[in-house]
Amino acid sequence: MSLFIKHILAVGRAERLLIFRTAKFWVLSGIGLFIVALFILGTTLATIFDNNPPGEFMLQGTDALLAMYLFSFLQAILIIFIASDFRKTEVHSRLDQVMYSRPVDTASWVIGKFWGVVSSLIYLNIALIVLASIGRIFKWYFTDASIGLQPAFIYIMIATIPAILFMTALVFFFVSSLRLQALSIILPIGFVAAILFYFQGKFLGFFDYACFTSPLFASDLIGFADLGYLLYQRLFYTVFALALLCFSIILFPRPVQNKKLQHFVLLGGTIFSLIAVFLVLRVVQMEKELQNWRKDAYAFQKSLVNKATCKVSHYDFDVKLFGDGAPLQATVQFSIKNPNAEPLAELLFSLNQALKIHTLKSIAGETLPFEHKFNVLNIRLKQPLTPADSIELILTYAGKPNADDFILDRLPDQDDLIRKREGPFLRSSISSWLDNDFVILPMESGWYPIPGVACGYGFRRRPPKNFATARITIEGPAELHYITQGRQISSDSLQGRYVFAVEKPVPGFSLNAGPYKKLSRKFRQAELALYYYPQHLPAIETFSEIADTCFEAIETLLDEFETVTGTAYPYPQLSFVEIPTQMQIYLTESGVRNTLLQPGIIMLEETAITGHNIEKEIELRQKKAKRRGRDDSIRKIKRDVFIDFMLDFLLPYKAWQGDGTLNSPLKNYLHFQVDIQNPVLHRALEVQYFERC
Amino acid sequence: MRIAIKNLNKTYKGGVRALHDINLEIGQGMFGLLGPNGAGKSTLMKILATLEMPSSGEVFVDGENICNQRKRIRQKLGYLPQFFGVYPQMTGYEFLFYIAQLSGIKRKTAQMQALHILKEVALDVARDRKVKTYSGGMLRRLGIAQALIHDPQMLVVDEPTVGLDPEERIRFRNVLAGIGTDKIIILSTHIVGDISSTCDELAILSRGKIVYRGTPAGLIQHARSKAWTVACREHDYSQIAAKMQIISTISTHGNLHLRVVGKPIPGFDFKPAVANLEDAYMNFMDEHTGERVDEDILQEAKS
Ligand SMILES: Nc1ncnc2c1ncn2[C@@H]1O[C@H](COP(=O)(O)OP(=O)(O)O)[C@@H](O)[C@H]1O
Ligand SMILES: [Mg+2]
Repeated sequence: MSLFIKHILAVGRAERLLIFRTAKFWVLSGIGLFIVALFILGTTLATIFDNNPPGEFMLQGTDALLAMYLFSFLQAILIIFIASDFRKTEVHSRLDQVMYSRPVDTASWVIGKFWGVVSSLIYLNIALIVLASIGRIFKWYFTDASIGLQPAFIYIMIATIPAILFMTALVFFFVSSLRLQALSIILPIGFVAAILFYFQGKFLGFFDYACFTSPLFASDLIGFADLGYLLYQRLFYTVFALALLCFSIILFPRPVQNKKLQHFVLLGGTIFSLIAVFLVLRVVQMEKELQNWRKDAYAFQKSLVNKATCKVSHYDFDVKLFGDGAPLQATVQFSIKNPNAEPLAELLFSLNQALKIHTLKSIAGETLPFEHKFNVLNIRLKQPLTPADSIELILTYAGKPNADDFILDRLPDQDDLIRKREGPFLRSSISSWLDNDFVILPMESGWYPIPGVACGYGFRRRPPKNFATARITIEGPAELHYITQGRQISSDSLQGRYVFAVEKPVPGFSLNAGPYKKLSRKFRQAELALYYYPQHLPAIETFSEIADTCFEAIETLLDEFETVTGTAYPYPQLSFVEIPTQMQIYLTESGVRNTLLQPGIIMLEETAITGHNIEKEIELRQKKAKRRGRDDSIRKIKRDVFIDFMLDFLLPYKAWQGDGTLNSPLKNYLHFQVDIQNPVLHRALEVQYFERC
Repeated sequence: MRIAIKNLNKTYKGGVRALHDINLEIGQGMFGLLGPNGAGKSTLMKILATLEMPSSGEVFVDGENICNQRKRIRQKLGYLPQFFGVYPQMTGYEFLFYIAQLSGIKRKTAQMQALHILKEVALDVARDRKVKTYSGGMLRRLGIAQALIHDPQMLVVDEPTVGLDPEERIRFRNVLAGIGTDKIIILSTHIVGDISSTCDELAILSRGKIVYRGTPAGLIQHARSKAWTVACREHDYSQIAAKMQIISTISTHGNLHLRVVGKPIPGFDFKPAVANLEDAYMNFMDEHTGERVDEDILQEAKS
């Protein structure tokens, strides 16, 4: 056994040595390394010299990840050319007979060769990580970019290595079985071409063995998201690679040395093939189930669109986050009114199906019958709720909202409806998150019962809004910040217990939590706050001495806002919360690029923050002022920078203007071109509109 | 140690019958396998080296069937194929170190063994040079080094001297001669000179069949009083060549001095010569198979 492994290592080492001494390897990988080096140099320079660098490149590990991603295209070809030599090396140089007459098992020979190819490529990818890290060190030194290699190592583990294993094994299999080198090159190249030009993300991207189109963008906050399906696919390619490797050993043209081992390998190949088939079937079945569920749920909700619904006037939430058992445990006491002219016997609510309902009782303690299916909670009342009458219910439930179970308008075959963003560089795909100390539950996720059904209203028609007041009690890990609608009325940071009061009715509730740092300031009745990931704004302290001036500036903006709209800012807070870059931004009327808007809360994709190089900007403005002969005080410069920074969040909508410049609507707005389409305004006006009615 | 070959047949996929009912016993010492090109020598060697499967029949090494015990045989086997190549990008040392490891030698010992064997074949000065820079003779010595590195019980060398210059050929023969008598060394060649100096026993293979099995002396015995020298004119050459096997030709002023084997034809003045192994082999092939060996090849073999 140990000799078996020693042989594998010896053959692997020799193979690596040979690969590293071939021109083919260095020409192909040299091209790749050169392109990647240029890319790293480009992004490094961009981040160092641009005061508004591309935010993605400031995230930790992005360089290494993207370096490997870029290289993966060339690597696909490189593997094929190297691996297809695995028999030719000996045959061509007339060494096959010398080598094959050694007391080496065919299995150790083939596995050793396999390991030689695979390890060379892994070394190459590690070289890419090192290359990228050099760029990253510069970025980190000159800017606020965070540093860390974890995403790169996860990427190499889940994307790169299975891809290398699979492609090498596929080529080995062709070489062993076809014994024609040309075909062993052409067939795999055809396969790669088919993936790049035809399959791409089709069939769930299942054919995409090298993750050319998979959502693999890492966030500083939550790391990689949405890996569930992908891990199945990666496991498939790994297992399938092992099966192919076994068959390459079996088919390898050399008189068998060890029949027992050969049988063992054959058994292994069969078992790996069966597992691979099982994984394919499992993935197909999972996807079918999900799509069918979504279709059925959509149809079901559509059938209920015109049913009369109730209104909830007040919620009393008692939410426990990351407790034992389920990440979300909630007890909701809510007062229900019947606004219709007819009595209501059934009350329809939306509630994410993955949340398990434990009890549903009336305030008097009477258990009520209900049905919870397709995200619809249907409560059957014993006595219909007469018009204008109200009742109070208590609902307890727990679980983790399933991110795939909502936004049902997003069906695969409906082009006009909301779709997930796709493509290698735009990898937003999660729609809610409740893990890893981060909570991102927009109201659309259905984390609490909302009157009426959520979908099926048709194009551009949204569900009716329910305006309600609330008292929200949140219990969770003490070290996190909790952000929701309403004013915080009590906090016990030792126990991790916070109470919020929503005194003015709002159209919905969201929950955010995370190990954020908070920067805040009271302004009149509201609190202005930025919740950011500490690593992303290390330079924020630079503003502490001028904090007052900065916030004054924001207040001025909001004053302006109020004068123009004729309404006071309706929410008790205006909170900006950093969210992962993969977050699905719903393209509804209240969602804009880079943000997800909830009442009083703006969720910012983290790249919106990392895309600012504050220190650089201050430095630049100082220089500019000097050049123009002005003698701006550092306080003024810092203030200007801060305002610009906040402006981007306040109204981040970047529209192409007629003159081709990117312009922020707030800037327009401040020039008295009020844009009612503007989402923040829209959100604020909602409340005013509600109050007037 | 003994090799026993029983009723061995080999038919290649294309239908070429390379070996015909071979029965052969080979004991310790140097064994020569002589035969013209295409006789099936390499095929037999490859079967002995566990690289080809016999179509029928069996080969036993010390009583173990070679088809069932490939690993055991391979451990004992050193093999230098007829066409021996190298990894051009490796150095001589790297190559031998690798081979030593594959032969089951531990890493540490393998390093020492590689250095030792390099000295043995007088390649230690070139050990860190890429193999692609080696000359033909150096390569052949590297070849024998790779076959000997694990001190095999059974050494199979297939036409090892082809393409070597005379000096290298002699050096190579000396290396082989120094290996020791407690091993089986099977040397195949179509050049008689390779065998005459070193082999204890030999077999002649022709068209897949063993046509002679015995000692070199026995073979010479066959050709006793069949070797001649004769002087003739150039235009007589074809007349003699048609009937007799010509071993060598020397031309002086339009006159030819030939060394021939066979039955003398009338009209020429044949002078008896002392038969050597080469004469004997030529004569044997001529008599048993009617195969005339091309004189050019003989000239090559002469040196
Ligand atoms: N791999 C092969 N496939 C088909 N025929 C072969 C193969 N190898 C050798 N032969 C044929 O078998 C015969 C014997 O070849 P070989 O053993 O190489 O002879 P030798 O080594 O004595 O010159 C020849 O006719 C040759 O053409
Ligand atoms: Mg031959």
